[in-house]
Amino acid sequence: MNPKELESELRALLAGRCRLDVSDFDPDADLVRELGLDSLARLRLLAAVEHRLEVRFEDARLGEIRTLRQLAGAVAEAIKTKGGAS
Amino acid sequence: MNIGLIAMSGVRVRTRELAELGVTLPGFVNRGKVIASLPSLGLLTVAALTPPDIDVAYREIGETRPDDPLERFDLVGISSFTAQIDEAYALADRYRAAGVPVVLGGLHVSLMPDEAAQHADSIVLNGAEGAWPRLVEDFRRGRLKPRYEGLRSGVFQAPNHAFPRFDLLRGRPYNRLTVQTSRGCPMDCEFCAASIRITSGFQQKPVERVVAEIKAAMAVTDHPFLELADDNTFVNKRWGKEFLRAITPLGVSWFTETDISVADDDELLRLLAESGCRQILVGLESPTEDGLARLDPHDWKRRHCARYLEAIARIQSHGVTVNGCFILGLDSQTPEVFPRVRDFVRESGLLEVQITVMTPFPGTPLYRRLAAEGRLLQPRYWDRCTLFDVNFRPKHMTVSELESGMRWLFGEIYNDAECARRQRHYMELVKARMPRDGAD
Repeated sequence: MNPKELESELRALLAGRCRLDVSDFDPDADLVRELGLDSLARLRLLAAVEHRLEVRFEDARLGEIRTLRQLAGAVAEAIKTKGGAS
Repeated sequence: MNIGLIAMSGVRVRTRELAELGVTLPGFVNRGKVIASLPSLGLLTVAALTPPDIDVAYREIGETRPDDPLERFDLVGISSFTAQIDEAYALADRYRAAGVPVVLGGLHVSLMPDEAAQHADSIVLNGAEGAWPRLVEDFRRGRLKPRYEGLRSGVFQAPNHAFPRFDLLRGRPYNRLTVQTSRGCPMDCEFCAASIRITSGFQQKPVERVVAEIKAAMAVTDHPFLELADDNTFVNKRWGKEFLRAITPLGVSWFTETDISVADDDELLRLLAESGCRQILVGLESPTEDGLARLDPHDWKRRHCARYLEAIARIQSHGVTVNGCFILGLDSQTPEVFPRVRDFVRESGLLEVQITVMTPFPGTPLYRRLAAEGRLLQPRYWDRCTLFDVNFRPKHMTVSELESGMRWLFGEIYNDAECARRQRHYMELVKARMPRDGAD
């Protein structure tokens, strides 16, 4: 999956969870503050991304993933880690 | 005529070491921020009970300074918690000095009426229902009485109750709104300083009324997270199921407080999850049976303690997280309680944990007992009723042991690694319930 496909996939997951059109959502905007997600909704989004893309974020980074760009970066890193481990 | 309704709320720790620690522990400060950011449902109800020809302004004040300019009103109503009551009194004194009559109300005022009356032209005891409309009419006629008593029963029956004025919150940056479904709690714990002190017995709103209020709350803000302002929502399981079925189509996410017995009913748990309940806050109070002895008149919590771990697992397996609350300094606790709470939290998989210190709020049975036993550290300590500052002499440890044990426990539970571990546990629970496409 290239970065553009990944971003598109993440936007689709996000849109499904917050029931908003997020096609133009700023990738650097705070998901909790700007989309009205609560802290649990943010964790459920991360769980959905892990589940859908079959990756696992580092536990220590869970609190840091607060924007779409950070989420994409964490996914890319998790894919890399997974690839290296296999 | 215009009436200013002023809510004064905020959570601040007085003990310096704890305040400094709080700044560094995200899990500790988060819940405090949430509580402090909730609108005052009481004053929104007061606004709703005000005749429509009177202008009402709703204001929230975190902290005040003596030189802050006063907004002009014909009458001011102030509500505050115990920890900030002295600032509320100071603001009331300033308004009265400026010639503006002041009404004080809220839990602290109801429990300490004679004290509050020294700073007000009138006080409202219990809730505003049954009192505020009379007060306003008397004020119009220039016959304001010094004291009004709100109803202690029949609060939610027409015409006593009114829909809170959620519209007054329009345009404000809330992402959490409160709706109340009940007052009181049959547990009657000795320390409780919540609505049980201003109500006679457990009272619950009709389901259709709650649904209408939730719809009104949803109309003023996009995708609000609802926090039920209850002390024990699911006392009546039949009412609970009717309520859950009714709110499921609304598509809200919400939070409430209840007791551990919800775990006994699988249908209730399934309905909870389907209705959008994200978290329930449960007063576990202590991780061991001996720590819970004589906490409530029926020893209910002590009798249910052995099932805590199993019950938490069952609730969370439905995708509803448990915010487990523990109280430190209970009479039967020794310094052994600190590592025991830490171990329990780790073993239980609780997503969130609330640790507070036993606090003898004025007017509670606990306050009266500790006063009679000569165990209060100061005769008046209201600004230290923060739930984090120690105001009494513990039975089986020193004040210093309680304070340092609490700081140690905060460090053990609220550090980044432990928060991440609990978040991971929650994510795995969520994933276990997900279909392949990641939908809820």
